Amino acid sequence: MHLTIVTPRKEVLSRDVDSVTLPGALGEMTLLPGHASLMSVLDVGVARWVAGGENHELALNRGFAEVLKDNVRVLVETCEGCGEIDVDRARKALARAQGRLAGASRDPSIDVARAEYAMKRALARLKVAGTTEHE
Amino acid sequence: MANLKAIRKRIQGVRGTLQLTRAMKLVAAAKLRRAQENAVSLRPYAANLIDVIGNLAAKLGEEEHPLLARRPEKRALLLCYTSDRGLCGAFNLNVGRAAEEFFRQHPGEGAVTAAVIGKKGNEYLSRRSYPVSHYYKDMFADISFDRISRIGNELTAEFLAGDHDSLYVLYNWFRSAGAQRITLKRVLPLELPPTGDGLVAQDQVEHIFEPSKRDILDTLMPMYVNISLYQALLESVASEMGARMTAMDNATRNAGELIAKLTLLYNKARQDTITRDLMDIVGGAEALR
Repeated sequence: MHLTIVTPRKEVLSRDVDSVTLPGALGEMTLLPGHASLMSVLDVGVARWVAGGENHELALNRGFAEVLKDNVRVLVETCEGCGEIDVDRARKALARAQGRLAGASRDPSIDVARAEYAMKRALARLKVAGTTEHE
Repeated sequence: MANLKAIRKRIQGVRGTLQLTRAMKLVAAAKLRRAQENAVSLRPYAANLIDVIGNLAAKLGEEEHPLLARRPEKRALLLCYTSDRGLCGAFNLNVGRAAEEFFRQHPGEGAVTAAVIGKKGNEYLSRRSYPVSHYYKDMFADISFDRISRIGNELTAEFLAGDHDSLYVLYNWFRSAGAQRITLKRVLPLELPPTGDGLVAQDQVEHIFEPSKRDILDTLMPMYVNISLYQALLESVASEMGARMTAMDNATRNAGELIAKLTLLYNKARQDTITRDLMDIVGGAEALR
């Protein structure tokens, strides 16, 4: 099964993998060779894949995935590996987003969707950064 | 000769110009490298996106999404990509001329409105009193997908609201540092690529769509519009730098030639003066005998 991940900045990845797990809009999904053709909107989250017995992870921004004949194509606005993530910044973003969400019931000017989006993005980043930190 | 001094001054002036154009050429060359990298690194994404949409298009009708819907083209919006700065040869002039041509081909009051990126294009069209409805300033300090996405979303919303029936982009397509080609492309309504990478033709099974076909179209179509606008911007910026580099290279060479000519003239004039002075001295000595 071939996995390709591209962003407007570059082709991040193009290689054969054993399986891949993506943050689909309807929930996480794991794709194995022989999967039916599929098109899915992707939520902010973590993409995981196994290649040669090794696990890899990337934090994805919103995007889109297509599965066709054992070719998995992931198109996302941005994505980051654990080496590229600024953990401090992600922690601060998470705290800020959580604060905004907590205050949303009192302050109608807060954009809940945007705060949730920021929170999910920070969580995905921390997840990707965190797993390698504690290994 | 009296003009010795004048020639010397002239040489100094041209030398100053030469230094300026040479510096501009070097700056343009450095910026070109970066701009070219940006344009090239977007290509895999754009190609993949077009493949995916093509695969989808094989199973799609015009009526399935409002961004695909063609309606009688009464009002077209022409998005022109130009630069904020001049001294880049015919780069901006070519866009201006092509825009005028587009206006001529679509006669009638309000048949075409222009949207302009870059100061030069705005000046060109406004001065000739063509209607400019959108003018985007200061695009080039920070070229980001976010920024162009906002423009894309705005223009798409206007298309959906019926403010215009189509959206075209007009820009310099980057072929090489020395060659740019004016390109006109329709972005809205979307022109679907014939088929993607051909895989879909063999695939009789219906796709699974998550969450739904409509959601996927709602994600993909605007993305396609914004990527098209972004790609045009990156091509245009690379072209601008290429055009400037070439123009400044020519200017530098011309200045060099001019200096050589003036130096020759200067030396001749100097030689004349020396000869005349000598004649005077010799004549004077002769008279004294």
